[in-house]
Amino acid sequence: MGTLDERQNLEHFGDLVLAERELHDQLRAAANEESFIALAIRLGTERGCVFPASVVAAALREQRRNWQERWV
Amino acid sequence: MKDFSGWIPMRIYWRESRPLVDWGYMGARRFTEPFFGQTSDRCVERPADLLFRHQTPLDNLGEIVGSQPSLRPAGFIFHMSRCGSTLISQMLAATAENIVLSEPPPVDAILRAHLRESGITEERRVQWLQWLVGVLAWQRHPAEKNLFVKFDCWHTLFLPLIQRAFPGVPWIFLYREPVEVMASHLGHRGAQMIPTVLEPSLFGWDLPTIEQMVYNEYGVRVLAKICAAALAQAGSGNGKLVNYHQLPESIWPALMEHWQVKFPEAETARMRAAASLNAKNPAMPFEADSQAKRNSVTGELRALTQQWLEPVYQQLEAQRQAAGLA
Repeated sequence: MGTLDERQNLEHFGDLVLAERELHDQLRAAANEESFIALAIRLGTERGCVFPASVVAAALREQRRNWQERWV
Repeated sequence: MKDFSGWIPMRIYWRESRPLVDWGYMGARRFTEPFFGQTSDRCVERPADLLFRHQTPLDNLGEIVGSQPSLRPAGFIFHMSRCGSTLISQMLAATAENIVLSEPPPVDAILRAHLRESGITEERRVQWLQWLVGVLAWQRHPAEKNLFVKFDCWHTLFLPLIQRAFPGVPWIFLYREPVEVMASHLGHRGAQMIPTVLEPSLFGWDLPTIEQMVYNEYGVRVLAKICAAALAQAGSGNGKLVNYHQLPESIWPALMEHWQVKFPEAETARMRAAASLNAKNPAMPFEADSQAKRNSVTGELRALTQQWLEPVYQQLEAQRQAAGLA
């Protein structure tokens, strides 16, 4: 889902999140997927990383599947 | 270097023969769940924790481990499975003075790494294990003083390597009347009891050898190998044999003495209270079930248990009694 650029923007945003404790804390405060996606889009845009909700939702689905299948 | 405070190595995975660490955000939480894997699951519950996780080469742990102070291991718990080891680990986890790692999958990945990639030496695994345990032993709360590791039952086979990585750390090996252990596995079989889930070479067998075993024989002989490995190391000076029937009250003071740990009265009371709960499901009270378990093993399984497990169990008992009951 999403273009290559959009997926790369989300990846770049992830690098920023892991480097910035405050940004990480802000995103952790979102307990459900809907509020998390909205917050990620806003905070990403503020940092020049533009990606749509569908890209974040697809990335979450993929991570959840990878985690559930980690012993397979 | 990145700031890894609040993070734990949850998992080790392989990419093109290279081991990588998947980190999870633990924050201020403690390891209180019966198993490390359950704590890891909690580390990916929030969307941000699921999506944004550090991934580092395992070799980088050497640099990362020294970035925060680690607790030295106070004690290790080995066991034959279904014999009270989770009761002990849950008792220890009941006080905030202890970090208790219960069967951590990344430890297993390191101990068995050479079976996946044959070029990996024992030296390398010793080093990786020291780094990994060092990171997991980071002091996250001021109250934390002691680290305990409960290993998977088959890790008893790696006792010499583990003692090399952590010389002088006192360990115990827990075991139980064999038919009671086998009865528990009848209800829900442990992974080690299912042929080929673990590498046959771990037990000194090849595939044709295990193909000749009947299904129940395999599991019984795996447990016999585990018990024999503990017996072989029991005289090393740091080990103590503990039978399930001694748990928990009769052995508790002797265990604390063995591990050289002391707790204030209130913490001891907390730990004793944890013993009254079902260790693998702390929402349920503990129920003694030895007699029911003994009655449920019949026929072929009882005969196999008598043939393969009973002799080594008797040897463990003789060794334990020779060393003194407590």
